[in-house]
Amino acid sequence: MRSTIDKSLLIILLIAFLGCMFLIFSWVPPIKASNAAEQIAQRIFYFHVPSAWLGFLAFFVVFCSSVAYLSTRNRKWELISVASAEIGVLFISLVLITGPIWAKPVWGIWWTWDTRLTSSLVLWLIYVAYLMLRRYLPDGSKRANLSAVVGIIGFIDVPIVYYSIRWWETQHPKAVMASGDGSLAAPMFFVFMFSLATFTLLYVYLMRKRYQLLVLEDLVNKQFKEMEIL
Amino acid sequence: MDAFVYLFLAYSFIWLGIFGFTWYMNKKVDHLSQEMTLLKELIDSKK
Repeated sequence: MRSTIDKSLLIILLIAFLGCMFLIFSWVPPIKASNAAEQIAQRIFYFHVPSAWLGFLAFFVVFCSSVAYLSTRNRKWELISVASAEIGVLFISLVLITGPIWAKPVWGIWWTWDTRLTSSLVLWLIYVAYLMLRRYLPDGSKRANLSAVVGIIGFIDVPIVYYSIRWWETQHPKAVMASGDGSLAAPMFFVFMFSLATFTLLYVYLMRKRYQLLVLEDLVNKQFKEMEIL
Repeated sequence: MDAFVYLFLAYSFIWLGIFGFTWYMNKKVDHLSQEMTLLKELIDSKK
C-alpha cells in the first residue's frame, strides 16, 4: 500500500516537473525588462520563491515536531523533525544558489550583505548546525533534547527572513504575492502556483521517503543490538 | 551558449539532482528492508 502511494506520488511528481519546465520555458510570457538577460533571469522566480516557501514550511514542521517531542518524548517526533530539517536545508540551499544566478544579470553582482540575503544565509547555517549537532552527538535523549531546542530557537529566524524586506531597506525585490496589489499577471500567477504545488508535492514525497528511511535505520539498529545480546 | 538554454540546462541539472537524491533514498530503503529481513531470520534462528 505504502509502496503504491510512493510510486503514484513519484509519477505525478515527474509529470508535474515536466509540466513546470514546459510552462516556465515556453508558455509564460517574458516580463518587460531593460535587457534580455534580466528577462531570462526572471524565470528563476518560479523556482526560487517556491523553494523559499517550502524551506520555511520544512522549518515550521521542525519547530512543531520539536515542541511535540519535548512534550511527549515520542521518538516519532524526533525523526519527523530530522527529516524535515534535512529537506529544509536542501530547499534553502536551492534558494541560496538560484538567488545569485538571478542577481548577477539584474544587480551586476552575485551577492550583497543585504538583510534578506544575510538572514537567509544565517537560517541555512542554523539548520546546518542542527544537522551537525545530531551527527556528532551520540544517539540518546541528550541529543534529542538539544536538537529539539535548536529546532525551536532556530525557527525565530524564519519570520526575520520573511519580514526583512518590510522592516529594513533592502535591495531584494518586494514580495509580489503577499502585497495583494495584483502586480503579478495572470499567466505568471498560474505558473507560480503550479510550481509551488509541484514543490509542495516534492516536499511530501521527500518527507515520506526520508521518514521511512530513518524508521528503518532505527529498526536495523535495534535488531543489531538484539543480535549482540543473543 | 544562449542564456535561455543555459538557464534551461541549469534548471534541468538541479531537478536531476533532486531526482537523483530520491532515487538514492529509494535504493537505501530497499537495502535496509533486505537487511532487516536477513537480521530477523538470523535472530529467529538463534532463538
